[in-house]
Amino acid sequence: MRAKFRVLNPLGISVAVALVLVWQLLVSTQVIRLTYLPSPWAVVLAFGELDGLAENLAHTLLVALVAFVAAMVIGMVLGLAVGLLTPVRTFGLASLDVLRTVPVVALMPVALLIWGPSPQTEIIVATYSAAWPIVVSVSGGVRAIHRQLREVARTLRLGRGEEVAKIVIPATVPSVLVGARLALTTALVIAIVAEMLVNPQGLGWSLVQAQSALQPAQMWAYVIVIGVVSLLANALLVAVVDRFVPGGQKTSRGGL
Amino acid sequence: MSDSAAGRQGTIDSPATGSGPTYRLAGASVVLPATDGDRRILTDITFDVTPGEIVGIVGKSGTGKTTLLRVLGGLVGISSGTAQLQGRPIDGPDGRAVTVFQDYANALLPWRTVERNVGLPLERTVPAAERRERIAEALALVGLSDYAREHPWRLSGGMQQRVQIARALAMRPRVLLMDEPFGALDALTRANLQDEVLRVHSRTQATIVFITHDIEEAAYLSDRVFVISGTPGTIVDEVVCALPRPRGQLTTRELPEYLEIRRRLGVALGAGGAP
Repeated sequence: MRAKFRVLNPLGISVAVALVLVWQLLVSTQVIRLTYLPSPWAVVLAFGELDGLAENLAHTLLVALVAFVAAMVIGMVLGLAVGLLTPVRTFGLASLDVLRTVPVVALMPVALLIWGPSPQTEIIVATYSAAWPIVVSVSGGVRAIHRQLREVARTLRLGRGEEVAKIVIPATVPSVLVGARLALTTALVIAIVAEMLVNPQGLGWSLVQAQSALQPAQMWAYVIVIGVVSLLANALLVAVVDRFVPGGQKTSRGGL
Repeated sequence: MSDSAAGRQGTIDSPATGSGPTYRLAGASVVLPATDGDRRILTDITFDVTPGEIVGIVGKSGTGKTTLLRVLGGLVGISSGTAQLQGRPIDGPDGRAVTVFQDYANALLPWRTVERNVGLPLERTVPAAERRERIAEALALVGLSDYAREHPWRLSGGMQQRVQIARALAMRPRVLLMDEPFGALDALTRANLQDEVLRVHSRTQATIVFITHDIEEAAYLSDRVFVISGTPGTIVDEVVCALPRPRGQLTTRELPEYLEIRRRLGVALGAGGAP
């Protein structure tokens, strides 16, 4: 309860505001004169010029959300399998580590060839990259469960399925939430990158279009929209983490 | 088990109906894999434990005390010899002997309330109404009825250990196995819990086997104490504690017989220094 109202850090915010003011000052006094660096005020005005912002925002959010949910499911299943099953670790971990380290951007041309320029492709690449943080944190969470709890489960005669459902999964909830937080921002970022490179729709594509149209102020406006959306998504999940993981995981909080 | 659950209503446990020993170990040894090949942890362990008895196991660290308790609890298999519980070879934990661990913080589930922790072993096997009854009964036995809805991390260490004991009792086991149950607690809490265990024992007649590094605790609680020593460990001495029951922290500990038992245990463990 106490922490909820301390999310805003007045000192941090005043620094950000000061930086924006300095930027405005430098541009309007023409100390710096870059053709494509608009003043903050010009960016504010550009918000009025954004065409179909609501639709684009809805498109990107929907793609990110679908990818996030799919990544949660796939990531948890895979993470539990890696954490619980020795054969999966023995035979699969090397492949998983290789796949995990290939940047998803490098796979986007491949995905484009296979699935074409479609929201489906966007969802696939976003899911792919968002699943990894969950796999890593869930499998780590399973491995971090105290060994003694295994013996507790045995002496209390819990079945293997019962042990997974009643001990392993609840014990990994904090790890899942930490992974989820990374996954949601990853899904959003990769959806936007995919819109720039693969599927001409949504916020990413609008940003690229503003660039091609030599509209720097609009570009910045899109950057701000994207920033605010990630910020809110992150804040939402931090709140969820705080709600369901009492006491712990305060380190997962962002800077703001 | 031969008796039906209905025949055991009302009490947590009743003494074994048969006349045989609860445990019978003969020439049991345990070899466990280690980094440098197999290591013999226990060798030639032979003893009987009679129903309703309280047996303490003392020994220095590294002598295989915990492994012996794990054998009794079915958590570790023996490599040779025999180990029987109520006349049948021990083959995994089967609910007749339940282990209570020293590290209560990593034995209870912090996201479950006290009553749901205690009910954990009953969820798959016992219908809800009977489960509630057995949870209430187990909590009453350890004096925690008022804390059923608390989370364990809000309780003191002693109370958390009582939750773990209650959870074991809820299974109505024949044997309660305790691995240094009070090792992590302060002296006063420890004394309280020792008496709690004696009360539970007098009401349930469950057989109790426990490990301790505290010879006074062993002398105070036990009917018999096994002294385990060596590498690999084996039982080198057996001390009968024929002290009257019920025992009291002050009265029992002043008895000359108690002092004599304590002395014998000290000598057996080599704690006496120069004679």
